[in-house]
Amino acid sequence: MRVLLNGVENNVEEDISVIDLLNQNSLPADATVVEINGSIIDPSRFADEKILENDAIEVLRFVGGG
Amino acid sequence: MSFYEVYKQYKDFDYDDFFKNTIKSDVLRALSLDKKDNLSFLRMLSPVAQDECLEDMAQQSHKLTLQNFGKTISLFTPLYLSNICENACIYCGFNHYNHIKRSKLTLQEVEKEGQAIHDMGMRHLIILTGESRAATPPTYIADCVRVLKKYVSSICIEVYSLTNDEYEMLFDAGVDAFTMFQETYNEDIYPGLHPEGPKHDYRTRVDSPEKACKANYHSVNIGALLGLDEWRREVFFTGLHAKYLQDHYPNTDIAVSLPRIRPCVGDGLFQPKSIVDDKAIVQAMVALRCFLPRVGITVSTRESPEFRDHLMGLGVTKMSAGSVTEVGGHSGDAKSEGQFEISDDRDTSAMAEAIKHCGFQPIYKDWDVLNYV
Amino acid sequence: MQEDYLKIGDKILTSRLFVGTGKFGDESVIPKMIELSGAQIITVAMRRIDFSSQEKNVVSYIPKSCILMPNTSGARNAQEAVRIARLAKAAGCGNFVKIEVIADNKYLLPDNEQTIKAIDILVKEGFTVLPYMSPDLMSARRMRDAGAAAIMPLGAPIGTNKGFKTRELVKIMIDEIDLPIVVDAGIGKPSEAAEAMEMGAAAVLVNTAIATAGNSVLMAEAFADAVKAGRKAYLSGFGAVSDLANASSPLTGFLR
Repeated sequence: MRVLLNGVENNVEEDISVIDLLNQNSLPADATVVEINGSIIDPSRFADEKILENDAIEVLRFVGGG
Repeated sequence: MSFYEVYKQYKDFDYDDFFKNTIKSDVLRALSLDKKDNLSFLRMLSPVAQDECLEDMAQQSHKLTLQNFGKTISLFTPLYLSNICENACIYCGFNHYNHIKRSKLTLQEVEKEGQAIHDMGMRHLIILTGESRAATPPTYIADCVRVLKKYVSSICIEVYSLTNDEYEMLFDAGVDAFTMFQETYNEDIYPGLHPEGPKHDYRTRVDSPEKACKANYHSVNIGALLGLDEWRREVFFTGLHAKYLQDHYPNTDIAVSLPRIRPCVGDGLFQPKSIVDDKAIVQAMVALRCFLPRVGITVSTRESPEFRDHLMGLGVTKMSAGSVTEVGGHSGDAKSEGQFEISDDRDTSAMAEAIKHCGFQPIYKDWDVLNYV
Repeated sequence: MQEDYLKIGDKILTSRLFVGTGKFGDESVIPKMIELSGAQIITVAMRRIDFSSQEKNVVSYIPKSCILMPNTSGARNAQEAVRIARLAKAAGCGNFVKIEVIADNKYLLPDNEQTIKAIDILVKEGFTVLPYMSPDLMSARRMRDAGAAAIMPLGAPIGTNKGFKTRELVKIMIDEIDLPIVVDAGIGKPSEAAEAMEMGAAAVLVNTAIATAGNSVLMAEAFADAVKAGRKAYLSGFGAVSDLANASSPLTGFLR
């Protein structure tokens, strides 16, 4: 199904959870922030929160900064 | 929060011990600080500062005064509306028990006074009353203000303690400034000096300047009547009080006065606790200026002409002229005896000449309250 | 020195040097740099993950004992700053945030007004807020009133290493605002950090000067020493600097 991932169109499987998405992209879940359609997903819900068609997903993390 | 919390911190401070252990280099170090803390201020008030550092302090005070105020002296004149008083302050000529003529101005008389003051050239006025809500209630004061503001640009009240609402009411009537002397900051001797009447209450008195700040008065003037208690302590508390108001009400202009006890009716019954000589006044003034570079410093006609002239350039920024301390008195015969004896009875033009002679510009009108329609 | 702690929010700090993690050529020096700096507060930024790159997460270079202070860099107004702060908090690394609202790409000067708005919202949500700001006393008062835990005025525009250009205005803030004042941005040399501390600043934040130094680890150590030196000098109080000349026409002669 089609989703928007960090502003870029992407195709992902149906019925995928947030943690699945992170794992597929080799991203650790800690110190990572996920926002779907403008709402922040609590890390405790990464396994349960399902991604739906046309969701706008933002995946962010800390980088060096001053 | 109230200044009283600050007062309590220093109430039982061991001043004698502190002064005994202050040496000349302590004072010079204090003087060299860009921003002086409270105890540095106290060092500048010490006996050793007077004996060995007075000229150095005066030089810095002179520099700071010119930097912050320029070569100007603001002029104002007092108008006593009434001397009817319920208090029995033992050092005051208006003491309830003194047998003097009591009177208050009618609005017609106020009108005449206003005209006379205007003709004198004065534009900044301070109006005073004794303490009597019966004879001179806030509404009477407001009525007088409405008359007087036709003749002057700025009106300051030096009256009894009012409520927040009353201060606001008077502000709306046209008052823009407030003066009140704590008389003594010493909480323990205060009641004995003011044994009767509403002024007996220390807390109400010490909290009043803050009420005026809250009511948005443009300038607030405080001070202690020097001589009632040890003068160094009174000046210390005056400085702390001014700093407290400056810090909490940054948009209010704060000024201090250094009145010394003068002979008055009923004299002989009251003996001042400390001798406040000329050197003391100079030390107090320059220490205050060095501690609070932006505070206004007022000197009244309690002081002699020669002394007042020397104070110009040492820290003073406001002076009174054409003073009378009787009720009315500007337009003709006074209606009563004065509150205290005046030393400098120079009229406006003589005062202006003296100021110019010292190289300063007399300012009659610093600003005006605009009436928005 | 005993008892010279810096309290920000609910944290008690012994180090008055905060460091940033941006602009490093090689981020692997960061752990050693932090160690030699002694810093306890470390700033980071928040960005979208680049799925194609396999960079190590910068957080893995920062000891768990340090306090992470994410900045809201990228925000051009209060709303964006608030959003970034909430995202950062969701990462689960504490509730400290440095508000940085910059709508000026030429000088990177912050927008005080938008910053005040952001502080107001974030304080109510339980953040410990440290705003980066242009040294203006009125704005600092409003930020304090809005609940900021400290105020961070710039020493000079970000990245310029120009040194402590805003010292006069910062001094006024130190004198008038009863909150820790942390000089942030523009500090290029350890001597400048010492100067800020001598003046009474509560701490300094240094990033570019360390990140772009020849030897970042050594420079971090130099800054640590400088901050300690400046702080000790401030606490000891300076000796009398005399520029008092003997007047030829004394002002108080009339009293004798």
